[in-house]
Amino acid sequence: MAHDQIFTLRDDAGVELKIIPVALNLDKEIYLLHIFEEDHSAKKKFIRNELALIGNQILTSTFSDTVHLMEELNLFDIGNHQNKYLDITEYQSTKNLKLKHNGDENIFISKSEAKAMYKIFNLAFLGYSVAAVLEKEFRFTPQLLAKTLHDNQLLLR
Amino acid sequence: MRFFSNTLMIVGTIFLFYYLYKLYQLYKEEVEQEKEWVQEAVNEKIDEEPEQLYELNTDKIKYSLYNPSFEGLHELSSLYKLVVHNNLWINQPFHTKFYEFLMIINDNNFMIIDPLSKVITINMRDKYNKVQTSKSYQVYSTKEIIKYAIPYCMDNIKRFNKKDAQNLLISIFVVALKQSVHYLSHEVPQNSIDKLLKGYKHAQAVRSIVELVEEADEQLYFIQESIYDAFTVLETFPYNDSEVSKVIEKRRQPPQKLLQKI
Repeated sequence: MAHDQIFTLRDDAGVELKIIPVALNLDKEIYLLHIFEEDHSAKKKFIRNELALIGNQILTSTFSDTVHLMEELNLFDIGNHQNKYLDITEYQSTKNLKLKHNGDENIFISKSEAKAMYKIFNLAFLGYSVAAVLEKEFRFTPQLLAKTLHDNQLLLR
Repeated sequence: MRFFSNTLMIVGTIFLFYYLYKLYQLYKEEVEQEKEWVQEAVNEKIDEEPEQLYELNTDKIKYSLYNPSFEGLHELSSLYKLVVHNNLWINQPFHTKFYEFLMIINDNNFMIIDPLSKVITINMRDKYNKVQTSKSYQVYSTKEIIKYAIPYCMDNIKRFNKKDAQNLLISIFVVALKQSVHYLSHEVPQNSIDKLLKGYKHAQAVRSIVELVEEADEQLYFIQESIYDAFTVLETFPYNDSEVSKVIEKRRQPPQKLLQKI
């Protein structure tokens, strides 16, 4: 995953959007796909969506789902069986979060990792306007997302 | 008496000389005559009229050929020319079978998954707000692979005799199709390939060639090599398997041949 790459796409109104993958955890290959528009004249940047990429899986594709995932990280062991994305597990009397997903690999997240990821998630909004994502969130289609990933060689091993 | 015998001897001797002289003259004439004949024969040979050459008007010969551009196979017409026009491989059943494979490759978007592709699972809400899971990866177009592989293999193929060369060409299609996927189907069903080969006189030979290619036979390695080489040259396309599945299209009407000049 080339997390330092910036590439472009456009929304329905023709506004240029950029994507930056933000690394939340390099060991577990957990990234936040940060989608934003930039207004150079007003010198402002607007968040348009946030996607969570874990390993080879786009786990959440809407802002609300991504925030939901991050809050489950934040809750850590206070969460319960109602968690949508993370199960609470215990190994040698140490609590961990286990990712609920269709993938073959089990992904466990420790408490410090969860805290660090939540911290980076909040830092990722600094300098951006968040109002735009609430009002006019940019929604990908699977085809468009596949094309965007391909155009930037992110489908390559 | 003695005089008489002497005279007889002299006359006899004169006759003998005369006779020898006549024999010599006859021999000489005969030799002369023979010389003359030889000379005449030689002269005749030299003066012989040049052989009349009748040129074949090859530009006026027409062959019964398919017309790929006319039937929507624009992209593959150069391949048809390379194989059928250049080698005059218009013998049946090869000619028609080759064209059938060109049509099925042209009419369907077969894809070969890039061996270097990641498979990214996408969980995305659809327009009805339901989370749909799909997979994305990058693929090569089988049509492009075929367009690259056949010219690549042509020199190697021509080293074989005509029958084997033609079977090798058909087997390139089968090898590429076996590695292909078609929309939601994970692979091109074997029965589609079987249907295409059904009734083909050399089907068994083609199957044996495909088996040899799969076993990485040294003599036929150039076929797999052409596909690997195509991977390094051709561009990839993104593919997401959430698309609607499609059936493999096959034309109902048989293609028409037309008399054409080459």
